[in-house]
Amino acid sequence: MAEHVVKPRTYYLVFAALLVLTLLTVGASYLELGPLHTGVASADRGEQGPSGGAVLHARVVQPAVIWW
Amino acid sequence: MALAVHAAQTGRRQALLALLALTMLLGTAFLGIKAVEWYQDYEEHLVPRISWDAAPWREHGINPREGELFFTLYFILTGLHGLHMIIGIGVLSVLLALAYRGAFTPEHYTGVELAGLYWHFVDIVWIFLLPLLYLIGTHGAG
Repeated sequence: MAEHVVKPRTYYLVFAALLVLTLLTVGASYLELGPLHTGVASADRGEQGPSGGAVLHARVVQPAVIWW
Repeated sequence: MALAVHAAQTGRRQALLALLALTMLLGTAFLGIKAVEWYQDYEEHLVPRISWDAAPWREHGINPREGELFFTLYFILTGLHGLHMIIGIGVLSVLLALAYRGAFTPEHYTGVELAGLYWHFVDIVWIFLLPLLYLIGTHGAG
């Protein structure tokens, strides 16, 4: 082999880091961030529309699991 | 996909075949969930111009036009992402056939590596779409 081959351990570490960061991202989305939410108000309202919290949660969990 | 590239680099043909197939399977599962999600949106009248009900938005004191704008962007972004995934699965199916014929060796695996770069590019797009479309607003939805 002419090229450097990354060890699978590196892939597993990156994978674990991605999972942890995904969980942190989802967790952070439940925090009240005050003015930081202002810029995304339209999307915010869109998600809190008729479909309500249950559908929203389903949509959060679903992609987070599948994303990786 | 990353492990499939590694299998190609190290000349493990059976592992390459299995990992490419697994990548395609997971990608197809993702698309299946998207299809269910889109169908639910249709059933709940959340598809602008096609199946849209403005009344619930007004009941929540929200301008329905804002909801239409969000869901229009939502369908464009998730649709384009899904289209790229379909293309990626097509590419992977070609690679699978080539790998089955033994086309890749530790000296020649550029095709697998390029497909991996494309697949991870589509992955990275999703990293941005997930918070933008699914997580923003969660704090107030409970």
